[in-house]
Amino acid sequence: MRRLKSSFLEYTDEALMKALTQGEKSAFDELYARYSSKLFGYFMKMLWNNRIRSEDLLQDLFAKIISQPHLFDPSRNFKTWVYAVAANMCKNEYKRNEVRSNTSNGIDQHYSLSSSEDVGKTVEEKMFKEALGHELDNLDHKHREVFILRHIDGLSIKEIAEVIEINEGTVKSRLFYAIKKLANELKMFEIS
Amino acid sequence: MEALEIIEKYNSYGMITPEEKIELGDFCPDEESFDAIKFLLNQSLRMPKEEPSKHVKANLDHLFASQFPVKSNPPTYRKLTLYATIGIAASLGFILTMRIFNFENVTPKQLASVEKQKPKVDGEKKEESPVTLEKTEPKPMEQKLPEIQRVVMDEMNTAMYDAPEPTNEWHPEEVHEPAVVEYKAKDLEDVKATFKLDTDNRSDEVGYEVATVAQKNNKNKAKTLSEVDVKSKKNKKEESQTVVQTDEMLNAIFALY
Repeated sequence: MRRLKSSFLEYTDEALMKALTQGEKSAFDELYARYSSKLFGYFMKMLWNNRIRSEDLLQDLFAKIISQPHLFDPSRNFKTWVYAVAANMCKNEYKRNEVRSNTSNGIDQHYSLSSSEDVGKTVEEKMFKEALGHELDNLDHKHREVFILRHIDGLSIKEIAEVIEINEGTVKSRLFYAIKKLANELKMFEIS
Repeated sequence: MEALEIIEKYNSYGMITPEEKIELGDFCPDEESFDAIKFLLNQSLRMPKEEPSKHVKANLDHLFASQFPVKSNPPTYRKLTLYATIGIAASLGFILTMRIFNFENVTPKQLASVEKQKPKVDGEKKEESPVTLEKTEPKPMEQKLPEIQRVVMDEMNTAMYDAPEPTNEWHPEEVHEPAVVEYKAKDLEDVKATFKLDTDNRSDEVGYEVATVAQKNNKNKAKTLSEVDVKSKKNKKEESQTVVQTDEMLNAIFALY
C-alpha cells in the first residue's frame, strides 16, 4: 500500500488528474494533500478569515474536481487552473456579498479566534499576523489577490497572470502597489 | 520584476549595488523601506498554513465513492491480498490431502506396484461384466428348465393328493378351486425353484436382474404347463367321478336285486 502511495507522490498534478478521472481514489487523496491546505489558506485570506465559508468553498472546489474532472484541460497547468477556479469562486462570493463593509464586523471575531488558536507563538508574530491580515483586508480585492498568490501561496508572476487572466505587467504593478502599501502600514513591527 | 528580485536576493540594503539601487527607484528608495518590505515578505511566507476540518475530506470521500463506486471499492493491494490468501489456502489444502492419504510415505517402488495393479483391477472388472452377462443368457436357464418342470410336477402331484375327496354331487367350482390353489402354490414354488437355481449362478446384481427376467420366463412356462396339467387333472377327476358314479349305480342295482 505504501509503495502504491509513494508512486502517486511522484506523479505530476496533471497525471494525478488523469488517474482521478479513471476513478483512482489514491490520486484524489494525493491531490487533496497537495492543495487542500494552500487553497483553504487562500480562501481564508480572501474571505476575511471566514472559516466556515472557506471550508464550503474548498469542498465545492474539490467536488467540482471529482464530479466534473473533464473541466480540466490536460494541456493546462493544474496549479494555475485550480487557483483560477478558486479565484473565480472568490469573485462570485464578493458579488454575492456585494458590500465588503457588511462583513467587517465579523473580521474582528475571526481574528480573535485565530489568535486564540496560535498558542505558543511569540506575541510579535501573532500581532504581525493579525496586522497583516487586517491590512490585507483593507487592500482592495485585486491587490490582495496578487499579493496572496505571490507571497503566501508562492505562485510565479507568470502563473498569477494565467490564474487571473491578466498580463504579467499588470500583475507586477499590482504587486508593487500592494507591497508598498503593506510595508508602510506594517513598518512599526519591523522596527520593534 | 527586477525590483522585487533584488529585494529577495539581498538581506541588507548595503549589499545592493548602485545599479540595482537605481533599478529599485521609488519603490525602495532607502534602507528603512527596504527593511520594511523585506520583513513583510519574509513574514508573509512564514504565515502558518491553515488546515480545513476533517469533515470536508470525509464528505469528499463519500462523494468520490458515489461517483466511482466500482473502482474505489476494491483497491489493488486488497486484490493482491485476496489472491495470496487463496494461494496459501490451496497449498495448505493440498498438503493436508497428501498427509491424509499418506502419499508422503509411499516409496517410488510402492507407487510403481500400485500403478501396475491398477490396470489389472480395471481389467478384472471389465472381464467380469461380460461373464455375468453370459451366465444370465437364456441358454443355461433352458438347461435348468427340466428340473423346474420336475419340481412343478411334484408340487402338482402333492396338490392332487391334498385335493378334497370326490362326492357324488357335481360341483364345478370345487373342481376349479384346487386348481387355482395349485396354481398359486405352484407359482410360489416356481419362484422358489428359480431363485434356488439362480442363487447358484448369481454373483452380482446384474445376474440377479437377469435371474428375475429368467424367473418371469420360467413362471410363464410353468403357467402354461400348469394350465395343461389343470386341464388333464380336470379330465382325470371327471373320469374318476364318472367311474364312482357308475360304481354307485351298479351297487344300487345290485342292492335292488
